[in-house]
Amino acid sequence: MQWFIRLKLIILMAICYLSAQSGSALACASCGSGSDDPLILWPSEQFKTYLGFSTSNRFEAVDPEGKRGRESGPTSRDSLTMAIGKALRNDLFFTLTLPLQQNRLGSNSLRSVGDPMLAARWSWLVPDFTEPFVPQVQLMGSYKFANSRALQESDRSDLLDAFGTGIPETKLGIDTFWGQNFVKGGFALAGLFPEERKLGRFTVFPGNGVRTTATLGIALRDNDKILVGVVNEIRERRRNDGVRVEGSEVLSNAIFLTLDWSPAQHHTIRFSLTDKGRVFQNKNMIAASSASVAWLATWQ
Amino acid sequence: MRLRIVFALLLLLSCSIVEVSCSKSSAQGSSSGSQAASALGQAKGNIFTAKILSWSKGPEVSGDSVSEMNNACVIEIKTADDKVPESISVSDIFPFMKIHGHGAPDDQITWKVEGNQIIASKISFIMSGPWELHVKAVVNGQTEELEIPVVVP
Repeated sequence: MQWFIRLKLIILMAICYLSAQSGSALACASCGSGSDDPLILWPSEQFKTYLGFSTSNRFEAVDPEGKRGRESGPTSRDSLTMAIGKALRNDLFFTLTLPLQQNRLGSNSLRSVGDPMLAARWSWLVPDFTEPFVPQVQLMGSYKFANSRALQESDRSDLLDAFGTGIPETKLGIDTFWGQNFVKGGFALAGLFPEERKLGRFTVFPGNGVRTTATLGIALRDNDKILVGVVNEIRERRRNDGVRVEGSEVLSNAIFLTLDWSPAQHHTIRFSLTDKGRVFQNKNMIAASSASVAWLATWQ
Repeated sequence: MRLRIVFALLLLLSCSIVEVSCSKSSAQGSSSGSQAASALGQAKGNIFTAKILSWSKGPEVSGDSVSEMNNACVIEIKTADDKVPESISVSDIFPFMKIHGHGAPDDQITWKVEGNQIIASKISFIMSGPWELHVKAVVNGQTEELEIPVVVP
């Protein structure tokens, strides 16, 4: 698996290098597959907001051999996610995402601000209507702040106060989307670069990783569409106090179904269902099922 | 330029397809390793060895309150040259899951030393999988911390 991480990172760097050689970015409206960041601006959009609610449950611990087992702690994790996006140019925009989270266990619950994320996307290639098979290609980057309390910092026996990983993480990648035809599809690849942090008794480093997303769907009426996709994430071995941990590589696969419905111009309602850790092979991760509904609005 | 993009994307896609199939076969191949793992783990250090003789409760995933953290075990301590130590003093016992980089609530853990055995109680494991039970002890006047592997079903 290490070999594939290295190969993917090399290809990612090669694509970034090629992008630096390119000067052709055509102005046209489209959208990326969107599974990496909740809010994606179209080239003509200047200011956009996202308000989404999601709930996750059916948590199961997946061991190094892929066997699913039990987990204690919250049985449901809800999230109210707010994001704003501002375009600086037609081909460049920034987004700020802030989740408010709630952990629930029986009749007990606890709320906290989650980990904010600052992201940017630059459209290296925007499709031309005359060339419907040329994809939109975006380079994406983000930084996730570690604001919320991590499992290692929890001081409750029921772990209701653990909301995040406690690890800041940088993401760099490329997102392509063929969105001009009846059949739509996208492919995104991102390198994940967490920071090393002292959490609890040990200094932990979750390992660099690569997240690959593939989507396929069809256009419904107007701007409505339905997409299904797969998200594959792999991470190299983690380090605890600087020591690599054998067998700690992460392999995570998720499938999702997303329906975008536009009840009015500039407004989209997005419904999503995701099942993580129960398809293909998985190891050293937490399986979960989640559902979300979100309202995306363009204001300029 | 577009040909280069398409070529790069096709290469990435093929990488991912091969990766999923490879990871599946490697995971299947390693399944026999898990069968060798046991709840009665042991660890050998430079000063002493620690071996879990038995579990009076567990090991199992704990409940969500302190009263439901009931895993308990007996750990035998011997010197590195396999002799019964003259003195044993335990300074810390806590569970850690190094493959995930986290532990579990441990303030409630209690222990007592009887002869060359440590009876540890109220141990919490918050999920299934391979854990390590850390035992930090002073044996014959010398301090060492060992990790005893424990597989929690």
